[in-house]
Formats: sequence, C-alpha cells, structure tokens
Amino acid sequence: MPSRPKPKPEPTWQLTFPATGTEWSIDVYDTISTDQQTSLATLLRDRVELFEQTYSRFRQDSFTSQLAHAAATYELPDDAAPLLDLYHELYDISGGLLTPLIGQTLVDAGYDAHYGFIPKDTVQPAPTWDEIIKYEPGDTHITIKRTAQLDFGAIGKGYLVDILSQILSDADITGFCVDAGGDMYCRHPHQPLQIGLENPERAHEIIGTALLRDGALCGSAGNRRRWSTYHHIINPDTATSPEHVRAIWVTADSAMLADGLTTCLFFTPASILKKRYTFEYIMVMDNGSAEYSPDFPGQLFTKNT
Amino acid sequence: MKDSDHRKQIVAGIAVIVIIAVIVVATMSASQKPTASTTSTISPEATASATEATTIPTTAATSAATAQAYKDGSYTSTGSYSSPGGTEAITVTVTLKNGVISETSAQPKATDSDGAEYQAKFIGGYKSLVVGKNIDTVSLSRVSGSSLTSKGFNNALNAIKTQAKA
Repeated sequence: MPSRPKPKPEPTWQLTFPATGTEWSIDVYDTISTDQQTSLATLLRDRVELFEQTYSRFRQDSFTSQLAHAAATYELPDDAAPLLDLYHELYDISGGLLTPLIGQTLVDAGYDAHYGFIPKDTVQPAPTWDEIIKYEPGDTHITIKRTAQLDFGAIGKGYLVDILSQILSDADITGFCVDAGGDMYCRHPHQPLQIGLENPERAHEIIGTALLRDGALCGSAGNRRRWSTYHHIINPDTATSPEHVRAIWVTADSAMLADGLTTCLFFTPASILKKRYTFEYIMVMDNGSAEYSPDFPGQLFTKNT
Repeated sequence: MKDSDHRKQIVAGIAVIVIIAVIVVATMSASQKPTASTTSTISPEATASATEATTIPTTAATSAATAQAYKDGSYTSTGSYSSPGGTEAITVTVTLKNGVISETSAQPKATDSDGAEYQAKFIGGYKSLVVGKNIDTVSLSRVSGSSLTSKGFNNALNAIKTQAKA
C-alpha cells in the first residue's frame, strides 16, 4: 500500500485583518491560550497601525507625507534604518530602477490616495536619489533636498511581515505564517508548509508550489492592480510598466529582501542580484516559459515541448 | 477598448469561470468515490447576447459518483474582495441535478470599468509552457499570487460548496 502523504498542518489560531492595501492572515500552529491570543492580537494590530501611520503615503499625517510637504532634515523613525538601507542597496544594484522616489510617478499614473487610476497627460519619470535624498546607512536623520512624494511600497509590506514575524518569534511561537496577501514569512520546523503559486492567468489554479520551513516567499504579477496601461510596477526612467513578465516569486531569509528582489527582477537580471544576495526565484515570462533557479524550494508544473 | 470587444472579453472570461466551476464541483462530487473518473464535455460557445449574466448549459461530469453528497437545486454565491478601485465581486451560480451539474452561470460584478476589464483578463487564460493544476488537487497551507481576484473567486466557490452540502 503506497504511503499516504502527511496531512498538512492545521493552524490552531488565525488572525485576519485588512492592511497595506491587502488582506493579512496570520496563522499560528502552536497551541496557545485564549489570553495569549488576545494579547498577541492587540500587539500585532497595534504594530500594523503604527507602521501604516508612519509609512503610508496615503495618510496625510504620516512620516512619508511629511517628507513630501517640506524640504528639511528629519529625524528617522526608530524602525526606518533597515528599510532605508535596503532601499539604498537595491537602488544601487538596480541602477536606480527600484526606488522610493517612484511616488510621484505612481500618483501621475493614477495610483493616488483616492485610487483615481486616471493617468495624467504627462507621467513624469522619477527623480534620482541624489537629487532628493541625503541618507547613508548609519545616519539617524534623512535630509530631503526638495519635496518629493516617496513610496515605500516595494519593500515596506515585506518589512512589516518580518516585524510581525519577530513579534511572534519573541513570544516563543514556534510555528506560524504571516501572510500579507501572498507575501509571507512562514516558520514550521517539523514539516515545511506547502504554498501554492497561483496561476497568474487563471484563478483557482496553481503553476507550482513553494515549501517553507523557515523563510519568506513573496510574489508579484503584472496582472495585479492593473489600470490603463499600467500595473503596480512602473519603470522610473520610462514611466511605463514592464510587460515582459507575467509573475515572479522569490524566496529568501527575510520577507523584506524577498519583496524587494521580486520588484528588482522586473528590471535587473537574476545573475546580477545573485552575486550579492542569497535567494531563489521563479519568473514566468510573457510567452509562458519559466526562468527559475534550480534550488527553488518547491516545484514548478511545466510541460515539455 | 470598444464596447463590443470588452463584452466579448467578459463573456469569454465568464466561460472560463464556468468551466472552472464545473471542474471544481465535479471534483467535489467525484471525491466522494476515489475511483470515479470525471470527464467534462464543455462547449463554451458563449454568445455575446448579454453582458449582465450569461448562462451556459453544460453536459456535466459523467459522474459515476451517485452518492448524493450534494442536494439538487440551484446555488448562487457572490464572493467579494477589495481592490484599489473599491469592492469587487464575482457571482457564480451552479445548478445540481442528481448530484451532477446541469447548469452553471457566472457573472463578474465589477463595479468599475477597470475591475471589469481586470477580471475578464484575469480569467481569460491562454496556452503556456507553465501548466496550471486545480488548486483543490493539491494540499496547500497558503497561496501566493494575484490574490485579489482569487480571493473573491474562492470565496464564491467555497460558499457554493457549503450551500450544496447543507
């Protein structure tokens, strides 16, 4: 009799809430008391609120909005350094194509606070880092040389996934998955969690799976958040959305890195990124072919031609 | 985009939703009896006669599964999801007779034009070297991808499963 596959682990507690423009779902696999559930829920929700209050460009009184209103030197929020440092690195390695300065381009293209999605007649390319920002890793302050709409969307969500994962880890939770609408960090040491990679062209299908024991998976597809001729990824130089890729998934040790590399891979060859970072990836190209790293932890469903 | 093109795109999209719905529900039925093979003959010759709702009769699963796991009747469910353009929804209707699907319809209920186009595109589908597998055939803890539409879609289908089992 063939051995049955192990049944998938079932979470014992789940917390769901809308945030950062998507649905979050936090699964806990440990058995925890209702008191601990209540206190964890409060801790996690408060942290999410603080993060959005700081970084959302859609909130008038956020730190990000402050930077857009006046050219000045600002003291950084306590949690800003890892985010800005990785932006700085990925900006350099992508030749400026992954940039927090994409904010105004997104607004011009119609991705504004009112979700207008009506592009302006002229969509401005993004300014360069040195034109706008003075910040080096280690700095406690950031100087904005002239006002600009920043956007931390490329990495911010992944960073928040990491922050919430750390809260669970600090609470001695050994099995959990923090999922921000498909960008996630999962820890389940005894048996890896199997995550479906959704077919970007057909709902209710997957084109592969990722196995996560202790790590992050982030995904991005061009069909997500599409309007006019744009989707959520816009090239800051050409002010157009890349169309050569249907979907990208990246696994890495942190969700922030996986999130950032997912966006970078729209612009920068994996071979260049691989020289600096440890990650695995799958890219589904517009012709339906797939490019992937052979060590991707999981499976890709393909047919031979 | 011309209205007629848009309409065709939506109708084509609906056809795909229906096919998926048929397969999913057929799989549900067949799963009652592990050896049953389900083959669906589906002719999605959608006529672009209506934009509001399209009903496509299908000869459903030659189901060997006679187990009446699901009651006869018509089940309708709307799954909603939030998009940057507001709340969008997909409505799926499945009619069961003798445990098999006798009729299905689906209606993308996007409230804004971008949403309608997006849904139609999303469910349009085309050939590729990457192969899709039905999500129900694999044991998954989570799914990563274009979660906005899939969520609405999954909600609709899950609600139908629940209704039909009641």
